[in-house]
Order: sequence, then C-alpha cells, then structure tokens
Amino acid sequence: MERRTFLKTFLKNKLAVIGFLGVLLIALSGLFAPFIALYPTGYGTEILEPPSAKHWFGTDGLGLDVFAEVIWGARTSLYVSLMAVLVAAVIGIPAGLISGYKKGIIGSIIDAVIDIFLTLPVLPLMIVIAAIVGSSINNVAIVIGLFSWPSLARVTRNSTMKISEMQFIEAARCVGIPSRTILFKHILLNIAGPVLVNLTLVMATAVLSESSLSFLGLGDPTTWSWGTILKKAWDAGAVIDTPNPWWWWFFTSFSIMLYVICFNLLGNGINDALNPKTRE
Amino acid sequence: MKEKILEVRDLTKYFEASNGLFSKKKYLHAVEKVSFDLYKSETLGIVGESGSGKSTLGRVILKLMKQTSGKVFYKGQDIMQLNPKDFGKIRRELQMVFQDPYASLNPRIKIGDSIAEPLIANRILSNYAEAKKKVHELLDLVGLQPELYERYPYEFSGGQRQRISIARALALEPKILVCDEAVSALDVSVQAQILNLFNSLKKRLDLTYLFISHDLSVIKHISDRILVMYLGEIMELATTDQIFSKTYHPYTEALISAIPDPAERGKKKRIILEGDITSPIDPPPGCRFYGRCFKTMEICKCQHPEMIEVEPGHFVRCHLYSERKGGLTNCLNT
Amino acid sequence: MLKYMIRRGLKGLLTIFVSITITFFIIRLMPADPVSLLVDPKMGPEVQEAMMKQFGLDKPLIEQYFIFIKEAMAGNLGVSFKTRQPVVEVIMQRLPWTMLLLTITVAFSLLIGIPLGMLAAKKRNLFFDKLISTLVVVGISMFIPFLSFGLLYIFAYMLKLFPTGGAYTPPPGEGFAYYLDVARHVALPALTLVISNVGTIILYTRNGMVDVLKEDYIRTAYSKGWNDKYVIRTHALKNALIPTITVTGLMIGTMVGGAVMTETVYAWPGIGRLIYDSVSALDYPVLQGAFLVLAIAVVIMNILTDLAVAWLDPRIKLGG
Repeated sequence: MERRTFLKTFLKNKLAVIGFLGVLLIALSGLFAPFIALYPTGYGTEILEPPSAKHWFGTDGLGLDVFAEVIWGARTSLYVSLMAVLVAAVIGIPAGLISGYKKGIIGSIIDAVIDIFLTLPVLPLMIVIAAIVGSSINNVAIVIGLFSWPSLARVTRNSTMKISEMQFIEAARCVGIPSRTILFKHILLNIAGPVLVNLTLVMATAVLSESSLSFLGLGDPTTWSWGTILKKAWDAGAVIDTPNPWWWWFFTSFSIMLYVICFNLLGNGINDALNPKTRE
Repeated sequence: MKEKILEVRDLTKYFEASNGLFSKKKYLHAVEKVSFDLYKSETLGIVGESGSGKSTLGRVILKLMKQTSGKVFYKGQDIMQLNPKDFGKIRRELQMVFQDPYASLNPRIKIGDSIAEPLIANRILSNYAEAKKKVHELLDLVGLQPELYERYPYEFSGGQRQRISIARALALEPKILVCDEAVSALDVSVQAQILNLFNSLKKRLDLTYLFISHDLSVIKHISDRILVMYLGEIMELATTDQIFSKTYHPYTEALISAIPDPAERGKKKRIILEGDITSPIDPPPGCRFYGRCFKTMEICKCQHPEMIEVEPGHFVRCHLYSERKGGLTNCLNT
Repeated sequence: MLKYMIRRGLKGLLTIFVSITITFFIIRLMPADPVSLLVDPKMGPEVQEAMMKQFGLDKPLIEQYFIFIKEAMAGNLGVSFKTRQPVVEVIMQRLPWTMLLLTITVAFSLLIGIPLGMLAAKKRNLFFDKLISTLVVVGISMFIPFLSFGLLYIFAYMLKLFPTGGAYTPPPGEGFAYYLDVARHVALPALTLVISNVGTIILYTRNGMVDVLKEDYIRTAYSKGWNDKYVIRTHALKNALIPTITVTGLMIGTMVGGAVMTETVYAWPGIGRLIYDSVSALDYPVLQGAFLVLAIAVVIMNILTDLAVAWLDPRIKLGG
C-alpha cells in the first residue's frame, strides 16, 4: 500500500506534478549547463537587444546572452541549495532526533538554541558574516546551511517526539536495540515525510537567501548567479530606464520565482500524499 | 518443591505530579511496595482495573521504566542495581509482549526483519541472511508461514500481528515473558486462539509468564496463580482455584461478580462499587480501597492493612482478617 | 500570566545576549584581522591607539568580551569608518524610517490578511479559497527585488504614479505637505513588503479559522440557532487569531530581512539600506552596530507579540 498509494496520490495532484517537473527542468538545466549554453564572459557586440531567435532572452548591458546567464545561474542556485541542504541536514536532523527522543537537558538546550535562532533576523546576520568571511560560493552555501538547520531541527524534533511514544519504539528498547539504531533507523524511517517536506522548503529558501546575498554584492564574483544578474541590471538602472530593457531583469527574476514555487509545490505534494487524511 | 525464578521485594514506582516549577512536589503512587515470588513454569496473572499499576509494574520489572525503590532478584542478583551494560545480557531472558498489535511493530520494516533484528542487535547472529533461518523457525512456532517474512505489518490482521510480536519476543529465547494486556485488543474469538498459543508455547519452550490483564475471565483461563492489584498495591494473591473457591478480599469479590459470563461467575450477584476513589497522588493513610469498599470498618480509614497469609499460599491485604479486628477500632480524626 | 511574562522576558534577554555574543565573536574569530574591522587603518596612529585601548584590543579575549558588552550597554558601538560619526548616531538617524516602514507593513498585512483569511475559511474549498491559496504560494515565493522591480516598472515607470525611491523629495518640507510626500514615497516599499508577507497571514488565519470552525463547541453554537456573524465574533475569532498573531511574531525576523532588500532597492533611508551601504563601503563598525540594533528590535517585537498571544490564549493567561 504505502509506496504505490503514495505515488498514485502524488500523481493525481496536478500541482504536485507541475512542481516536480519544474524542479526536474531546473535541475537538468543546471546540471547540463555546459552543454546548453556558452559560459558568458567578456563583452558582446549586441547590447541590450530584446529577445529574438538568436538570443532567446535578449542581451544585457554588456552584450552577453541573458539566456546563457540564466542557465548558468541555475547551476549556481542548484549547487548552493544542495550544499546548504546538506549542511542543514547533517546538523539539523541529528539535533532534532536526539532532542526529541531523550527529553533531558540536552534536549532542552537544543530546543532553546533552535528558539533563539528562529527569532534572530537571519538575513542581516548572514550579510554580516558573508561580508566578513568573504564571498566564495562555498562560504555562501555553508552560511545559508548554518541558518537553515534550526527549522529543520524543529520539525524533526516534533515528529520524533510523536513517534517516540509509540509501542514499537518501546518494544525495540525491550529487545535491546541500541539507542543510535532506534534514532537513525526506527524513528527516521517513520518521520521521513515531514523531514523531506522541510528539506524542499530549505532548498526554496536557500535560493532566496543566495539571490539576496548576491544582489547585495556578497555573492561569488567568479560565478554567474541570478542575484548577480539582477544586481548588474539594477546598477545599470535597467529597471526604470527608458526605453526599458525589461528582459534583462524579468527572466532572471521569473526563474527565481519558478524555482521557489516548484519546490514549494513539490513539498506540499509530498506532504499531502503522505497524509492519510487527504488520501481519499 | 517449586523453584523461584523471580523475587520482587517492595518494588515502588512514583511519578512526579507537581503543578509547575514553584509548587510543592507531589507524587503519584503508581506502584507501592509490591512483593511477590514468581515460580518457574507458572503463569502468574496480574489483574486490576486501569490505574491499578499493573502495566507500570510490568515495565518497571523489565527496566523499561526506572524504579523508585525496591529489589528484583533474578538468578541471585538484584537486577535493579545492575548497570545498563551488565543488564543487557540479562535483558534477553526477560521479554514483553505488548498490548496494541497495531502499534507494536514498526510499520516501515518487514516483519521478518523485525523479528531478526534482536538477534543482530545482540550479536547472536551476524547478518540478516543467517538470521532468516531462525526467523522461519520462529514464524513456524507461532503458527505463521515462513514466506510471510517479506511482508509488511499493514498486511496482517490484529491476531496475526500479535503472533509476530510474540515471535519477536521469543527470538532471544527468554525465560520469562511479561504479557501486558496481550490479548485485550483482540476480538474474542482471536483471543482464545492466542491464549492457546501462549499455553502451547509455555509447554514447548518451558517459559514462565507474568500475564497482565484487566479481564478476570481471561486471567482465570490462563493463570495458575492470580495477583489482584488496586491503586498500586497487591490486595490478594493466591492460586486460581483458591481465589474462586474462597474469595477473601471485598475487591476481588466485586471483580468476580462482574464477570459477564454466568458460567464463569457462578451464582454470585453483581456487586456494583460506589463511592469515591482514593487519589493515587499522595494517598491518605489507611486502606486504598476505603471509600468504595462495601465491608469497611472504622479502622480502614486511618490504618494501612498489611499482607496476611490466611491460608497456605493465600495472601490478603484487608483488616477483616487481621488479628487486631476486635481491638483498635477508633480512628482519631487527623 | 506573571510567571509567563517573567519567563518570556528572560528568554528575550538571553536572545539579546546571544546576539551580542555572536556579533562579538564574528569579528574576533574570523580570518580577517579584528583590528582592521574595528579601527579604520586610515585614521591617525594616535587615534588608532586610543580606539584600540577603548575596545581593549590588546587585552585577552574574555576581557574584550566584557568591555564590548559594557560599551554596548553604554551606547558606544564604535565609530563609522566612512563618516567618522559614532555608530549609534548613524543608526539612530535611520531607525525611525525603518520603524515607520515596518509598522505600516504589519498594520496593513494584518488589516488585509485577516479578513481575507477569514473569508477564505468561510468559503473553504470553493473557488475563492483555492484562488487565495494559489496567490499565497506565489506571494511567499517572490524574490523581493523582483517584486520591487515589477512594482517600480508598473507604477513608477509606466504609470508614473509614485516616485522611484527615497523617503521624500528633497528638500524636506514642513507639516502636511511633508507627510503627504513621505506617504507617496512609502507607498511602494510598503506595498512590496505587504505583498511579500500578507500571504502567510492569510494562510494562518484561514487554517486557524477552519480548525476552530470544525470544533464541536462551534457546532453547538450553531445548533442553538445563533447566526454566523455572532458565532464568529464571540467564539471563533479569538481562538482563530492565536496562530496568526504567533506567526506574526515569527515573521518579524524575516520581515526585517525583507526590509533590508526593500530599502536597498527603493533607497529608503532606514537601517536596511544602512546595512547595504556599509557593506559596500566596508564600514564594519556600522555593519555590526546595525545588526545588533536590529536583533534587539526584533527580540522586543517578538516579546510583544508573545504577550499579545498570551493575553488572548486563556491557557497561558490562567496557567502561568
């Protein structure tokens, strides 16, 4: 039942499928960027050209192909999101599991740390750190991951607490299963759903954070990022210029929105497909 | 002469029941100074209503919950004093079958793997391939086909799941099995099947049972001796025959009279208990059954009754049978 | 209730304390030389030495920490590299503008979000509800610069209704004309932030309302013959609003982040823009000071919303 019904419910949900396909599209674009478009560098000859057959998304203020910029930006966004998710998961999931299962002092401390992190204004803090540490792509990814783990840990913790009360956990203790196995096998297998959903959310917000940092000038100058494209457009006054090269900033922004919406839809889809109540 | 396999002495478990950080500490007396012996190859039935502490008792004995005080002697040692590492080896010999067949198996793991897991975790066998053979034996033992190894719990009925749980409990070849309401969640017809399974397993594997239930007719059916609990204390302890032929404690009388089946119940009229239940939180002195008892005396309110052996092997905690019955009958109002 | 307030206050103090600590350690444990982050190398050597003494940069770490806290409490957060003004002064010039923007944002988000959420709950699963849900997802997925660009493009560029940036068109006027001018300038930034945040409010109000309406005590009220408005007003509203107010508190942190982006695009002279400017100018003292002030402001706003929730929720009010 479990696996087949999950797929069936998921596939029936049109929005979820759209989300999944969108994610797939972006993932493939990023992955195969070198095969899709030439890495944009230097200067081009046709400056600020509107979209055409030659330049699908037009050209920017330096004459570079905007479509290529967007594709390579996808690669960066994907890389940063995945790295951030990895960092967040490696810290957040064990933290949530441990604090949810053993409700002792460690649990309370981890919970308090999560609370504090969730209250702090995250973006300003990321800005301060990125400004001081330097803006390589890995730094950005790690910083974002370090601020994403608390919400992941909270979801993990809450789900863990619910599962910990169940009799099969007690039974596992009774037959002598060690705690680490109980946490990372018995409990984790049963909370995979909500955790996965939260991971998709982390992916979505990671892109927003990365784009924000790049837009403010803290992104990696050696890579193309959606945020940097927008920064360049903004600095050149492209938004309120006359005549307006809307294609310079529109397609990039739209890609960001697409990325975030698709991951959100995917996450909602997984959530609904797992919830027995909506499986009717 | 019967051999003792477990000796429980003054086992006590309190839960904290205070209101918030600054109020005085209150304790819920879930299990209060319980003492009894468990003999090899017998089935000791523990019966009581919800709140009697019987499930807590089972869990404390198996160290699934920490005790507040008391001793439990198994194979000559007080297992309560053992550290987790030393207890780990003994734990295999004391296993439990749980109440809810729908919650006692991990829904995401194949039932065969669930049964095999204790063997791997305790390093009895080194991998699941080796364990498969043993699992097949266990499945056969509980009346299930070996091919069912690959299935998931949701594919089984309540009775079948309980068989699987029993197979898992038996994987470590325990000597004592605690059955905590193990048939209470099953349909009556399935109950009978599982009870028969318990009996046949007991003979085949030379097991000793601690059978916990709220259902006295089930207890009567399966137990050699019966222990009646009320609000954390033992009220009566005797063989099944003794309890049903001559009931001493008023509470036991009431329980027996409430058995639905007239054939089981005998000619007794239904006794309905009225009155206030004594609070298990910081309980007042006196008998815990005071307030609902239909045979109370003045002394029951303020003096706590002790366990007395009224016949060989038949124990009761009740002032009706204490020597001082004629004496101190006035309770000074406290 | 009192116990709750004390606990909440302590937690707030702890968070502020943690923010101070983080700010302190970021500077001193980073690969960059902490001295260059606090004392402008372009200043004269005597001034540099004096500042170093003041911040105790020549003393052991623990001492530095306490000096830092002491100075921060006294209101000394260093001196701006760029303008040589005390950081506190710089921040205090900007803080009111950000407060104005955020207050308008929160007010309108609630004023628009709560009624829409309640309406969606009433018409749940009908077209209106699904439409709102879709818009919510789009709203919270918006990249703020994108939203700003879009609004600027439509309202400032094409329709020429609103100015493209700043808080007022200089020189600052007097009286009513001035307020009107500011109002014109705050419209788009506020609209950006409202669109970005109202989605969450709608979502939580809707869900909170749906949950409450399902409850048995509501069914009882209806079966007693009371009409819709009365039931909602007396019974449902208070309980349904609890998750909304709670999430507003949680959102303040993100709202502040959104304000940074918004103020940057619209050149709104608030703390957000200050952060951007100080990053570009490598003005580290101002950057650190701005973060600290923001963190404290967020903590205070969070405490206020938590107290509001505690007042609404009888379980907390009476339970302590």
